[in-house]
Amino acid sequence: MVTTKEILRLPEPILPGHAACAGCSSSLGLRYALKALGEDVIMSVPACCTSVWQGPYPKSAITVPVLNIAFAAAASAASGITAALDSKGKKDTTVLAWAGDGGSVDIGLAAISGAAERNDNMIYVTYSNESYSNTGVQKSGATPPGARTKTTPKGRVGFPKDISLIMWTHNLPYVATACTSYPRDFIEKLRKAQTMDGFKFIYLLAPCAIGWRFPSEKTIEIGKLAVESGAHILWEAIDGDIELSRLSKRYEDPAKRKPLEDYLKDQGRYRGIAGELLQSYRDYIDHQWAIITSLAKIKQK
Amino acid sequence: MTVSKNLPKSIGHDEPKTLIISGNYAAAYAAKMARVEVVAAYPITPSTDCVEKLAEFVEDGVMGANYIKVESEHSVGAALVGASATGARTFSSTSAHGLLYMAEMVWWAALARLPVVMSIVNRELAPAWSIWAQTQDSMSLRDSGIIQYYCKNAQEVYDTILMAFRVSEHAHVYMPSLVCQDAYILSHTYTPVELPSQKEVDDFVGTYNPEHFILDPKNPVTHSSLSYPVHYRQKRFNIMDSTHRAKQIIKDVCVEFKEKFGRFHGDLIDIYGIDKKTKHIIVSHSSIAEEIELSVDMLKKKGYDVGLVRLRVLRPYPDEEMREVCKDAETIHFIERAPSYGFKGVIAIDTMAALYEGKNHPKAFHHIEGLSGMDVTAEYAAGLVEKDLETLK
Repeated sequence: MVTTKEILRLPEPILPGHAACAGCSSSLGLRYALKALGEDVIMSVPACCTSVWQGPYPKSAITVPVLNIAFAAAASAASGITAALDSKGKKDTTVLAWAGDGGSVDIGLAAISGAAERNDNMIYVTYSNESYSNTGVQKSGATPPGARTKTTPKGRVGFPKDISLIMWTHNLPYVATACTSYPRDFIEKLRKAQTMDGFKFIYLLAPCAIGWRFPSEKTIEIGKLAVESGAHILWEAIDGDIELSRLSKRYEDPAKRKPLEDYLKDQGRYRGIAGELLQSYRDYIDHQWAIITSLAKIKQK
Repeated sequence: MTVSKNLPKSIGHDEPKTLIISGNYAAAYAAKMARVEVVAAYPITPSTDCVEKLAEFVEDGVMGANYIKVESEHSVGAALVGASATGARTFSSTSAHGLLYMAEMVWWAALARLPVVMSIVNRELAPAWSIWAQTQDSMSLRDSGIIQYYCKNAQEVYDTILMAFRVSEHAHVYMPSLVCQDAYILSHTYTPVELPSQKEVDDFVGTYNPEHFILDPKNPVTHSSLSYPVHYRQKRFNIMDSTHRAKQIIKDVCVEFKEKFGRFHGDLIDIYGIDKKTKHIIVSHSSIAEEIELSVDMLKKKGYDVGLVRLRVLRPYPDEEMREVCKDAETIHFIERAPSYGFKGVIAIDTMAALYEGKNHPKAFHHIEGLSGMDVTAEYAAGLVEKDLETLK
């Protein structure tokens, strides 16, 4: 396991002065990602928070080359980068597609599915703030049950789609979930992915102080509570074999999970949400645990 | 032009030869011989033959491109943008709804200044479904900055794709290109096409190596980041300048092509039967214009002082050239496939805007013909012009 000391010593890939909101975990996530992957990286970034906080032309806070691209196109543009690198004989460069949840689970779904099916060589990270935060917090396909957004002012009805499981059905070498509150786990997963050929997918939960309406100093705490309450399950699948990650293993037993209320109490998006809507979030969490733990029993080899 | 030793493969063209091939195959041979490095493609009738031929070349090992079989045309555009920004020569082919589905990425390639080249088979748009010729698909992207060529035969398709790479990759241009041909009339009609030797093509096309802006971790750059109005405006003015400059570069490349290969299809415009004082000028485009060459012969025999201008390049628009050709004209007759609903034909609108800036304003007659690939015969087109002229008597 990578140590905190080692992470701190790695060169800083994100320069100071960028435009992220106070308490932003997507900028933190990319900082960890580039620390993990090194300097030989080319990024594809669709319309998302990162396309703004990297900073305006002619400056950039990101120290690796970045191709900013249209909302639906992070994966397909990354496929083009990969193909071009291959045609130039540059086999060592890591191609990182870095997209938000809207750009992945909604508008970019066809492109990400296509790139995954072709097994194009890249690491695709969906950093999820569970809404369209960059456009002012609207509901996305990843918005959890009950959450208020500007297009679900009374709370989101219904279940979100689980992009990680959708990706898992593409028979990929590597699929994982992570959370910005656990950098060591995330970095380990990225480094593992980097050693593999083909399409690697990581879903990174990235709590958003603005969108979720919590005080900006609580970003890390909220992310931890997402895992400790069992609302966000950390797992990975190498060649299709799903394993719960160490940090989530203990929460397989619902009795060991912290109350969901603890996770939600500081989030303005859940203030006043109760009854059926809150119950549907609980149902969704149970449903996710049932699926992940059953799938974890299936071994491909 | 220097040719790098590490070019991708293009095997089987050591000597010049003539093949009997379709317009789609002509485009595929041009892409192969231009040593395209990345192809991304999605099937759509009637441009599939081109991308099928390319797949065959790649799988037979005679073409060294990376071929991405993407899941939509939007991803075709995005993959080509990604590859071109990483320094690869890129190519695809599409048509009609495919091109419109890709429209966002066509604009992206243009505004990002990436020299992607595509073969477009001009086809009607649904509803209702129709797979026959019409040029609104590409003409609806007229204002994106992408260079648009309209070809009259398969030989011109082949030659123009080679020239399009030269123009698009020119350091004073850096804009993408569409090389357009009519559905079926060209895309599926087999005619003799002369192919030069691979070496001649290599010497002419050269290599794409935009060292100053490619995505390279050793020299990190950010493409297309948020720009405040003062920078955004400058970038757009640069595109205006570059697309205007492209006119002269297209002309120069066409002359160079003629000197090297002995073929000339016109440059920005292609004129037929016109001298300095021609009174009646027909303006047309694509394969219809080749048919209208015969109409011009017929009308001349009947004593009419008539000639033809084929608009070969829609953007950048050849305004000075059009004013020069029409400077003594009394009438101008537009025969074109693409209407702009609510006004006139697309080519008529642009041409009349160009003539407005000149001293001579010939009387204009408008004909939208050949919709959904309907035949515009030489006799029919001659009849249209005769009727126009009768109204003046």
